[in-house]
Amino acid sequence: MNQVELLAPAGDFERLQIALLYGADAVYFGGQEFSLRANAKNFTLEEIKKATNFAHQLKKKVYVTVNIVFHEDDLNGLEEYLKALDEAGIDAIIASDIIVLATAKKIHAKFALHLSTQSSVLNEGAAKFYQNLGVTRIVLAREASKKDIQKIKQETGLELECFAHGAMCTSISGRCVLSNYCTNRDANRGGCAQICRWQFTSDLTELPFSMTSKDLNMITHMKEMIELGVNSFKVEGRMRGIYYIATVIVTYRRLIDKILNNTLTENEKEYAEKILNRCANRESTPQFFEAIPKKEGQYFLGREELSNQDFLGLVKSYDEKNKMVILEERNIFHVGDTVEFFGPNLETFSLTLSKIYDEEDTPITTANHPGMFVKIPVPIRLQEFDMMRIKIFDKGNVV
Amino acid sequence: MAYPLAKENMNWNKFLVIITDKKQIEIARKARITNFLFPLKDFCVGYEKTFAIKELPKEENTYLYINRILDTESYEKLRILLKELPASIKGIVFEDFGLITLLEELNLKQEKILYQTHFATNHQSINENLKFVDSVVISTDITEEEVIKIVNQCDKPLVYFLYGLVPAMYSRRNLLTNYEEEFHLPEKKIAHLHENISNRAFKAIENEYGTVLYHAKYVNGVLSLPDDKIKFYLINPLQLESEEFEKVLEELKQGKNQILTEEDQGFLHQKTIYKIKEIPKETK
Repeated sequence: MNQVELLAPAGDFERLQIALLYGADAVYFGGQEFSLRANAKNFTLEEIKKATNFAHQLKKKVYVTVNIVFHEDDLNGLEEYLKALDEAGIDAIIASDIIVLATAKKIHAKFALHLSTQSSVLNEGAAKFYQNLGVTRIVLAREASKKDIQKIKQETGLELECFAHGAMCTSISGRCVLSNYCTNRDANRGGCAQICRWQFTSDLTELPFSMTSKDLNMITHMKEMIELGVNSFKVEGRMRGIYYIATVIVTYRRLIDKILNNTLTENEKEYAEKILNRCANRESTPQFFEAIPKKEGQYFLGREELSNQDFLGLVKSYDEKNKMVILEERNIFHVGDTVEFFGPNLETFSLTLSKIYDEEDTPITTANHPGMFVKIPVPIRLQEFDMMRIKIFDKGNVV
Repeated sequence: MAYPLAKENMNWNKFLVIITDKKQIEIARKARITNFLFPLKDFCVGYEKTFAIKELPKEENTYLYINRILDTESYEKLRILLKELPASIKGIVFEDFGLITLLEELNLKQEKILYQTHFATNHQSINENLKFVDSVVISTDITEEEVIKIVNQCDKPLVYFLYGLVPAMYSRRNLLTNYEEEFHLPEKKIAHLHENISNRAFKAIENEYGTVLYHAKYVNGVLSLPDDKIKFYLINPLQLESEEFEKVLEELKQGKNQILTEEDQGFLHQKTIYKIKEIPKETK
């Protein structure tokens, strides 16, 4: 089987660190110019250099999105920006507008050209067109089916990147300007207001009309996708928090590794599915992989989004001598709660909290201030960036 | 620089009408229009009526319209269909870049016009695309100032959207069918949707290949443009009654920028926001 890449979103440097430490092989993010998600924090050029160095030290890669649809005024500074990205040593840009591809070629950029999903490639002809422009990897449209993936791979040999997990647009990417009409924000320049998640009235019935898509989750088809020749599995979510990133990335990392060494069991797959479903705020399905999604792929009455409070704390350090972890609290927890620790180099384990101390070593019964530092006795050595969550499912070892 | 329609001897040769109903052919002929664009059966979304190649007239300049993002299966079907393409077809207007590869592979000499609804928004990108195609349809998501810059700086004459419904969203999903099945409603392939906060209305049209939401107001894009820079003025009379279509053609002759009640000028005079920081504070 192919070696495959797990590609994670990074909304800022902290999330980039988490993604790479939790097992992503590469990260993608936007700079402060020319990137969809115009309202995310995004990276300055200095931060891009720092991120690139950090990733390269771990022998991992960074891809920068330059994927807006350019209007006349946006063209100013594009060439200089691409030169600066090249000097920063990034591994690839993710672009859709042909002028970005042409400009990168003109400046003889060393970075690779990845075609954004905004270009919605679903057939070999479109893939060949972009291949001739110097594109080495195509991020296929989210609508790509098994057959599309197979045929494009077979006919072009291009690297293929597919979305594996996260939110879906109702529209084909790039083919929606509902935001432009409803909010005057340009969807193809990062201003998408997710109008497809709003409710409409219609002449079909008195009930509100909804076209909201459920999320994507490819766990059940990962093995098949690897066999079809998918080179990179992309997790969506540049606006997501560190707990979501860590949970999704570590889950897919372990799945991919087990698929590659042929040790994945059905139980582990089911457990992974439960964990992913739990940390998401919407339901998810494999969407277009086998067939065009029917009504089961959508929501019809409201957004039905849940706020997840499973993330209890982030490990800051571990006192080896006293077997005590120092944790930054994120959601409320109490003495007596059964929790789970997970991390990039940690076999997930659970334990019942016997004691909690505040920063002054005073015993407390509840940690209820997000951001507060607490100490908890834990017999197993933990590392910075490990995480504590509420225990929901049986799987991890009990200590 | 003059709006060509305002001239005494109008050049109807530059009008390209999307035929969305057979009755429109006669109306357009009466108005001396000779360029017709036919949504091709099985390869178009957003049109109630599509046409098989054998249904197309031979006496006019006939163009095929293929606006789907083509999956592998459709791409293969299209390859078979285009192998038998009659020479009477003058050109193909398409959304998917796969067509460029396919037309080259089949060595077809028909005119190639790229119509990526939302992407032709600057002259440099359009010029890059013009290395592969004969013309490009300018996006309706940009301002008058941007349109003028584009037409003046592009290497070949372009297609300008003059009048009609424009798509605001294209989904591969059958959004109306899914909704109707969920609530056990009778099957309808066209619906009128309204978003209350923005007070914007959309017409949703579905076929088996997906759903298109059109902004419900007809765009009237009458502008003063250099005639030599324009290959075609595109008209999309989708959902217009015959009388309305006649009226539109008649009044476009006079360069009127208000013909029907449900009409606006799209984004010609309304610049969209790139980043939230561009929104004036009081409106945030």
